Amino acid sequence: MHDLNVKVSRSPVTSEIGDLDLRIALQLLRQAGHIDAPHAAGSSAWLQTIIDRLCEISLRDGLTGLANSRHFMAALDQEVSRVSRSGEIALLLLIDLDHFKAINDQHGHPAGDQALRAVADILARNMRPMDTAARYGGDEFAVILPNCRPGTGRAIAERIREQVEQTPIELIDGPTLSLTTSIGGAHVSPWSRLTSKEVLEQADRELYRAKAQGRNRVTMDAPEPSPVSSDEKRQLLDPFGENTNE
Amino acid sequence: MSSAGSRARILAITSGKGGVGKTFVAANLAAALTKRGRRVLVLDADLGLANLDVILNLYPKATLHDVMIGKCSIEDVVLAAPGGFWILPAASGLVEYSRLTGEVQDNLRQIIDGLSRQYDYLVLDTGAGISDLVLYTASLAEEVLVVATPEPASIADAYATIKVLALMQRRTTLKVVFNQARDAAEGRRLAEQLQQVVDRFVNIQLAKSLKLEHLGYIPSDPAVRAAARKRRLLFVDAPEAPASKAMIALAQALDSQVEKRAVHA
Repeated sequence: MHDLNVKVSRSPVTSEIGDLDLRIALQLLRQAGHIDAPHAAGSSAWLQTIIDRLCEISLRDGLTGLANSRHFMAALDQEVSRVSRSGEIALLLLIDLDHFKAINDQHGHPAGDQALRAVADILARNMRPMDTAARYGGDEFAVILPNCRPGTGRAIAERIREQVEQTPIELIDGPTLSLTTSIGGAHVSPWSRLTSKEVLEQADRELYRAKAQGRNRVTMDAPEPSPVSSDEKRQLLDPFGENTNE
Repeated sequence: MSSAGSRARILAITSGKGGVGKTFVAANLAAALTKRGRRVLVLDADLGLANLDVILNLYPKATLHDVMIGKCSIEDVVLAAPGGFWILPAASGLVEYSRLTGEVQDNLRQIIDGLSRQYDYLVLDTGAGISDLVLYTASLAEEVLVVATPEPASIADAYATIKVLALMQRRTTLKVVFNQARDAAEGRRLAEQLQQVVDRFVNIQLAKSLKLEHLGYIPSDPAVRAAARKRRLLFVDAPEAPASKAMIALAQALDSQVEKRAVHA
């Protein structure tokens, strides 16, 4: 392993493609906890590592370690177009920390940050590997759940809401805070033909509804019904059943 | 066949959900039509998820996207595909095409209009499902071919697509091809099955009834996977395989419709 610290003091870095000023890049990496690189400084493999890590950092929220809004928007676009191919329903959850402003005002910003990290940890613990949890805005989180049946989505959202409610945070040199969240959900179904922007607006409306109904609750839209009714489905598929019974 | 001034037949190929062989049919049907002496261009209209160049093992330097943004002319982008036909590749992973803007619509229409003067067949390989882009691409084609497999999920999705095309675009005929069918009888039976449900649930809502036309079937054939593994077009890799012969039959069925039309004219 090669120490990245040493390289920061050097300016510029002599690399295989010429002299480069990497002071800010290396400083960012150190701040993000990357203190060494597996290749000799200046080699193209070393540069590749640095670029890869910068990309990784550029997709993460610095405070919580979740995906940032840029990463989230790309993931949502991708999922919305994937749904039309896979035929599987996906769910978008927007999760808002209730009374976040009051926490900041009464206990200071470090307390607010601590609350955000606590919620982020709970989100991360409830994700399947293919899910994306993001910090979408100041005190707003978003979760993309691909291939998510309507019942499953509500169960996951309720689990998140309950766990936040049941996990008080102990402020450093301060009181213990109880947190609650309001959660709005929007389904993405292959036949709803929504754009990612419309899905986001729909989830936002649901989140607003959860807040208006008194916070600390989950509201979500019903998935768009399939253009194929159960009657039609039976007509389409039952004759095959008859054939196998022959 | 085509002489100066004549227009290509425009055929959109679509499916319910993905993974039923839509692009596979588009490419091999194009090769089979080429073998019959037709000039064929396949346009990858699955704009954000280019599959065609993967199936054909081509590495396009420029794509439809470059034409759309005015960076290239169509002539720079059209590629010769194995099998003797031509393709206009799409750009993979471009999220901007998940939204159908007026600009994308105009661009696509103009591109297809220009191409229709140079070929006998334009095959539009649309995306799966019923997104705005898929429906719009299909609306640019005079004929639409729906690909399905005999699996219940695929049949239900194909039916959903057929229903939406009938209700939104007032289609009076749609072609159906069953991929991975056991035999011709199974394909016919499934098409009849679809027609019965269309008659009962869709046609009652329409002034002019939709008639499904069973263009043919493609049998399950180990040669298909063998060709895919070699990243070769089935029709080139195993021209004598049952699935290739099925493509020839499909091409013949398509072409004979032109001849019929010519007689009517």
